Amino acid sequence: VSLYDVLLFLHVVGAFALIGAITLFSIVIVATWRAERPSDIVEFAGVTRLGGLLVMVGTLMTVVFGLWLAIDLDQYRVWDGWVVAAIILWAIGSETGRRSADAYERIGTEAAQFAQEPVTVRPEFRARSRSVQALGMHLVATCAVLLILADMIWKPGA
Amino acid sequence: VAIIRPESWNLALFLHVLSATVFVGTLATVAVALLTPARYEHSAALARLAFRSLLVAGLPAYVAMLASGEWITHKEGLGGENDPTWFLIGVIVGDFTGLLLVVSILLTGIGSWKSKPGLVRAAGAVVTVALLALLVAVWAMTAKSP
Repeated sequence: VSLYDVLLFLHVVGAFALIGAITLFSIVIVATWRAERPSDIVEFAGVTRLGGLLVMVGTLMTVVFGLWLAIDLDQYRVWDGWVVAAIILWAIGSETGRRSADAYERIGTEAAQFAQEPVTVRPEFRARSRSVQALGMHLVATCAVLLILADMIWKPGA
Repeated sequence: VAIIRPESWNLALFLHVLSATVFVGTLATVAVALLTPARYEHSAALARLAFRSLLVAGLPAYVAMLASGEWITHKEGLGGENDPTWFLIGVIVGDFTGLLLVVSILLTGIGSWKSKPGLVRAAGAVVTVALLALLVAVWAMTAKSP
């Protein structure tokens, strides 16, 4: 097993964690939109804690081991266009993902106030739990991560 | 890696990696949903979330992972007699996780429908085993020196 093998494995595991987290947040967002009870929203918000951890681990591993790979391999440079594009997309995805996660965390906190009883979601809270802005941020983060994956596979200009 | 890989393989590889990551993400979501104790007695939301996730996201992602895997296998000329070990590990783990997926769907569905927490937790354990097996496959399929 070479250093290249280990670095690539850790880089790919980071990518799995990142796209896995995007999948997790997508599932929770859809479930939150359809939720009938505040307690359900609180339960779903609990699942996103793993998502937050996966995002943190995934973003760090993809960037650290990705840059290490670019430095280690002779045929790639850190300033290659496709590497720079990946870093820019990573920054966009991280920031929009963070804003989306913050918005859904606030929704979970607010839902916890009504969660002790099996009541249905109030209409005014339902509108907030279906935040188009938070969903938009999540979609931008998702697109950024998908573009990074495509960039990593096609490596335009390499 | 792109330099030694023909351009014509890229789309199949993209779809294979994408579907595999979505499959792993779905299994991770399901594992947490099933193994986290419910905070509210009246809420069976997490078991329902897990069941629907396995059906709506996990199963299609698994099928896409298999189909794109077959596609790239054909392009690489693998699937014959002298296949490399990483490929065989990938195939075995793929089949094994497929079996675990079916078992977890059944356990979660029955456990959620009949309100049997034991079955739901067992499904969580099965999904966790599938995640560990997939980690082995990722190691085998990435740590193959060119």
